[in-house]
Amino acid sequence: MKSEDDSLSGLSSDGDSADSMAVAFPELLPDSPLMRSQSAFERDLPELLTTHFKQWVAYADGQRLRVGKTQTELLRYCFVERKLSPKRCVITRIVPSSSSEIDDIFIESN
Amino acid sequence: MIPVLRAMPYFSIPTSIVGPGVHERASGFQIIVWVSITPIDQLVCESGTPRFPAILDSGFSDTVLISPVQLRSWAKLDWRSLPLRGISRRFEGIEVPVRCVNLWIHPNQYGWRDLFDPVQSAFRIQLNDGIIVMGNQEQVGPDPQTARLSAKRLPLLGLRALTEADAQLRIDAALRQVWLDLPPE
Repeated sequence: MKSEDDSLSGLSSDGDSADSMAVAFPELLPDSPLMRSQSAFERDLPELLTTHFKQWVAYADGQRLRVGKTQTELLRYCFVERKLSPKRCVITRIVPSSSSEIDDIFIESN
Repeated sequence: MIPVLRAMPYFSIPTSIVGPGVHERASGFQIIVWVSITPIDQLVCESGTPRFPAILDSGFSDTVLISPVQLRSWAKLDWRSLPLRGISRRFEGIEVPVRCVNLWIHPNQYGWRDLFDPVQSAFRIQLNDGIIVMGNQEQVGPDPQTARLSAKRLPLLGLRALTEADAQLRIDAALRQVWLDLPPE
């Protein structure tokens, strides 16, 4: 799972940790369809920022499917037209990576 | 821009928040908005979709924070059913996975907080990535320490969500009213 410092959360060299994560969170294993899509997005992001800034992009199974002007357009394309599983897709906005912008999230008390 | 919240009041004293399945209390000076959360592949907020209160908290620097129990009780969703986004946020140094949902805000009846516009349906907030579900001693991510993170008494709607939606928020503190506009898609 990509985080602020780009580390792999819970994916240590410890075999037990990796095994338990594979059972509980298989989508986050590096070669999963989801993480291949996320990696592809991160790879493409510098180019997309210059060509489609603030638009939306969809990936599935590590492949870029479509760029669109709204999120709704891509949600409809992926889940209605293509009937893809949400667990395999990354649909996100083309903006500088949010994961690199923030440190700890701050929560006001309520 | 489309008006979503119009002259929605907040109060200087504690108030009861009452709705279907909801009996909560807002502290003074808390801005309460009514939201719904649906699966990411559900593109319409149908009339029977459960809605529940959240605190509009400009000091919260993420999109939405909701506990597993709140999600189950109010949105009728289990966090395990929400697809992961493949990125995480860090709370108290602990990485928590972001999960994909559709987030809706219910337009209020002009001048009221807990009454809804009878004509307009809910508006979807376009989140770049997703929301955070944590709390209730449940391990919600690969890091076992996620089980020790606590959520809040009510879900939080943070400034990141409004920013990602290109929303316009106006708080008239003199009149204790909140106005929120969203851009058309």
